Amino acid sequence: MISSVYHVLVLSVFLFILGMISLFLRRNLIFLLISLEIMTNSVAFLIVSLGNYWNQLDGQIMYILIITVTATEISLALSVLLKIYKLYKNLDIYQLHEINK
Amino acid sequence: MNLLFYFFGFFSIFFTILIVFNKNPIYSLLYLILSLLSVSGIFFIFGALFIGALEIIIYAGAIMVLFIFILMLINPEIIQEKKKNNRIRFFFYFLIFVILLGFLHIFFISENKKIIFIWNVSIKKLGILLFGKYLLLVELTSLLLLSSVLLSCFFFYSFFSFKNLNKKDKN
Repeated sequence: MISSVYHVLVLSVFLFILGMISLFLRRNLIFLLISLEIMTNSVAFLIVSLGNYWNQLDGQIMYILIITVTATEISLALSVLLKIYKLYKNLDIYQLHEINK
Repeated sequence: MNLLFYFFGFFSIFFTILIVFNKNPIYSLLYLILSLLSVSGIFFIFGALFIGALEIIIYAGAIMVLFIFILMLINPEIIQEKKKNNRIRFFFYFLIFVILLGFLHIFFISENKKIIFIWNVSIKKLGILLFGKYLLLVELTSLLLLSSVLLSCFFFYSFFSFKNLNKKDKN
């Protein structure tokens, strides 16, 4: 016996909420990407642990899919970030935005 | 084992709070690696050994190193956060979400009897499932990886070639 499903769910929701709070608070693009990482990781953790609870292997295969999608997403987002940096010399989203200019 | 789960869970939450507070992105990334390591420790406790190893290899070994490489290319003064009133807003959001979590607790209190046991999974089963039932998924994932490699190559190729063209025009 390890733990009840409820505790795993609360841990995952806690990590997701912390990532979302950091997504709201941060102004810099790199920190936004890091908080996205936290959120995807918490969701993947929930999927694998619930798959373990039902004795199904599908959760682990979904985890492999999620980790690949995250890697591609991060690589593309970082390349866009480098391009933004070369063009504007700035990464603050409140100075980069083009609405109400 | 039961105690170890709560230990790792506490550490993952603790390091994630440190990520939210830190101003220096490199420290923040190091704390993110620690948080991922504790989550993978939980995977090892559940018996999903391959998944735990994969998390360490891909997240902490590949993605975080990519982040650190990109951070080295950027001027460090631009990355750091300057506003200081973030802490009060953080506690405000945190309080709201803790109250919401309390409501969740009331709803889920009857679920306390459902228990996760150790379930050791061999890589052989995963491989059979990946190349039998989920073959289409593997193909689509390979296409996704190929498209991402092509896109990132195209981005930088076009960018640098335009830059060189401008320089030649000026000369």
